Amino acid sequence: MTAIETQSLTKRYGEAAAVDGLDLVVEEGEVFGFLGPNGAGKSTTINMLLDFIRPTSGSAVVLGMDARAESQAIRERIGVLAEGLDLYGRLTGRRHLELALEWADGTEPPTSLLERVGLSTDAAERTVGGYSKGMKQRLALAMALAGDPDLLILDEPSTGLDPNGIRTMRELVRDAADDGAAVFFSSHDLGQVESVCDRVGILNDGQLVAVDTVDGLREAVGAHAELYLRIADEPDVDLQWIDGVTEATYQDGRLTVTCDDPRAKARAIGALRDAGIEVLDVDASSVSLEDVFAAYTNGDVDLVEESGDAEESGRLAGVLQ
Amino acid sequence: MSVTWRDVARKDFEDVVRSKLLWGITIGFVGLLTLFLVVGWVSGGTNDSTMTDLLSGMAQFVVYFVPLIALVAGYMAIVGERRSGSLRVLLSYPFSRSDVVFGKAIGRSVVVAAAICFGFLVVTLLGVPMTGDLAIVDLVLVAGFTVMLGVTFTALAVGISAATSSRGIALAWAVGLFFLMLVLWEALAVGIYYLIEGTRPGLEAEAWYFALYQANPLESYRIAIGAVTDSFVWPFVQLGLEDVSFAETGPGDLQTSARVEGEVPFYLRPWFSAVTFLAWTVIPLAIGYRRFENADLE
Repeated sequence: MTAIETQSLTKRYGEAAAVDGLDLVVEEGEVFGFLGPNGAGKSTTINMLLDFIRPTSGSAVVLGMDARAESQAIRERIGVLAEGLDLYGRLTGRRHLELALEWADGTEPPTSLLERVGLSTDAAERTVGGYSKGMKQRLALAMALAGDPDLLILDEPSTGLDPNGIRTMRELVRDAADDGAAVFFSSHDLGQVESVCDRVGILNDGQLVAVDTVDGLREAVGAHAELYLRIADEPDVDLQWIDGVTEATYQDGRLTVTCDDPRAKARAIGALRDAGIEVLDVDASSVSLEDVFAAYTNGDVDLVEESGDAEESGRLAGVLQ
Repeated sequence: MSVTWRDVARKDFEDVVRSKLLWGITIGFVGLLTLFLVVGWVSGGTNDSTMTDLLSGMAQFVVYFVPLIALVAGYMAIVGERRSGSLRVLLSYPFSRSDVVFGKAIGRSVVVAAAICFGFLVVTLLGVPMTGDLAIVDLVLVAGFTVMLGVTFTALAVGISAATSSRGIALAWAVGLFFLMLVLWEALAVGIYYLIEGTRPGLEAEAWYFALYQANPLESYRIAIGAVTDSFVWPFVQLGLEDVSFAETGPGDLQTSARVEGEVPFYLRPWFSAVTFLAWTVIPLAIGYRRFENADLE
C-alpha cells in the first residue's frame, strides 16, 4: 500500500490552475520532500490531501483511503502540521498536547512529546498566547506526533524555527521514518531538508517537474562536485579513468578533480594513495541542491519529457536537454 | 474511540470561558439586569410591585440584551477559527465538519445559558427580599424562556459563522439580522400586509399577519413572557406603523388573542413560541452547516 497517491489531481481557481494534473506516489515508510517556490501549489496539494479544499478534478488516496470520502478515517491515522495554523492562545501548551493526545487516541505522556520537540515543561505551563513563533511551531509539531501516526504530513515545518529547531525537526522526521512512518513534507528551502529526504519532488506552477532522490537530481542537472588536493608535484596517475571522475587538472600545486558522482572523490584520493603520492591537504565543493532547485524552478532548464523506462526505473520524469 | 462533537464543544467551552470579552459582557448583562430590576421596583411604586411585575418589566430590556450577547458570543465561533487558522488544527484530527458546527453551537450555547442563569440567580437573590414575593414558578419559566432566546440566537450566530468566509461578512449578517428583527420587522410585516390587503393592519387584522409578526423570535419571547406573567410586555422598539392608536387602547386590547377574529389559531397561541425558537435554531444551523460542509477552507 502506498502512503499517498494522487491521480491527475487538479485545483483551479477560475482560469488559473493552482495544481495541475498532479500524479504523485509516496511509498510507505518513505520520507518525501515536496519542494517548490512559494505559490507553486504545495499547500493547495496538501489541503486537498486533508480535505480542507476539494479538487476540481482528479483524486487522491491516502493510506489506501479516498481523501474526499474517507477523510475522517484518514485523519485518525495521520499526524498533520498544517500551513498557516494558529493555536488556542488562551490554553496552555500542556493542554494543547492533552487535547491532541485525546483526539488522536494517543497514550504517550505529554512530557515525552515535549521532550521530543525540545519544549521545556515550564513553557508548557504557560498559555500559548505568549509563545514565540518558534515555540508555537515546536508545539504544533508535538501535536502532529501525538498518537504515533502512520503518516506525517508537514506543511513547511521549518517555518519560524531557528537553526536549532530545524535540526530538531529533521531528527524528528528521521525518527518517525525509522519507526516505519511515512513522512510527506513541503518546503521552499531545499538546503534545510535535503539530508532527510529519501526522495524529493519539485513542484513548479502547479506541476511536478521532477521526482528523484537527491543524488539523482544532482546528477540530472549535471551537478558536479569538485575536489581540491594539495600535492607537491604533478602526479603521473591518470584519474580520469576512475568511475565518476570527469576531469583532473593540475596547476600550481593544486589538483582539481571534477566528479559527477560524489562517491568518486574518495576513489580519487584512494587512487593517489595507491600510487604512493602524498596528499598535503584536501578541500571540496559540491553543487548544492539549491542550484538544482533553481535550475528547475527558474525556467533556466528546458525539460524534456522522457517516458517508459525512465519513469519505471525511478529516474527523473524530465531531464535536461 | 473516535472523536465527536462533544470534544469540540468541550474544547470550545474551555477556550471561551477564558475570554475576557465574554466575561465583560456577562458582567455587563448581570449589572443591567440588576439595574432594570431596581428601576422597575422604584418606578412601579415600591410597595405594590410583585416579582411577576418586575419580571414582566425586565423582559423588554432582556429581549434586547440577550440576543446581543448571544450574537457576540457566537458569530466568530467558526469563521474566527477559520480565518486565524486554528480550525486547521481541529480538522487535522478526525472531526467531521458537522462535529465542528454542532460542537461549536452547543459549546457556545452552554456559555450563554450559564451567563443567563447566573443573571437570574442574582435577580432572585435581590428581587425576592425586595418584593417579599417568591414567585418561583414565574422565575423558572422566565429564566427558561430567556435561556431559549439565548440558545436560539447563539445557534443563529453559529449558523452565520459557519456559512460565511470572512469575519466582516459574519458581523454584517449578525448585525443586519438583529436590526431587522429588532427594528424593521414591524415595517416588513405591515408593508406586506399593505401590499396584499391594501390597508394597514388595524387593531383587528388577519391571522396570517400576526403569524408573520410572531415569526420573529424576539416577538416569540415577548409573547411567551407575557403569557407567563399574565401581562402585556411592551416591545423594545415600536414604529407605530399599524393603524392603531396606542393612546386609546390599553394593553389588554393589544394582546393577539383580542386582535384576531374568532377562535385563536394554534400558531398564534403562546406555546407556539417554542416552535418559532426551534425554527430559528435549526434552520440557520442547517444552512450554515451545508455551506460549511461544501466550503474550501483556504
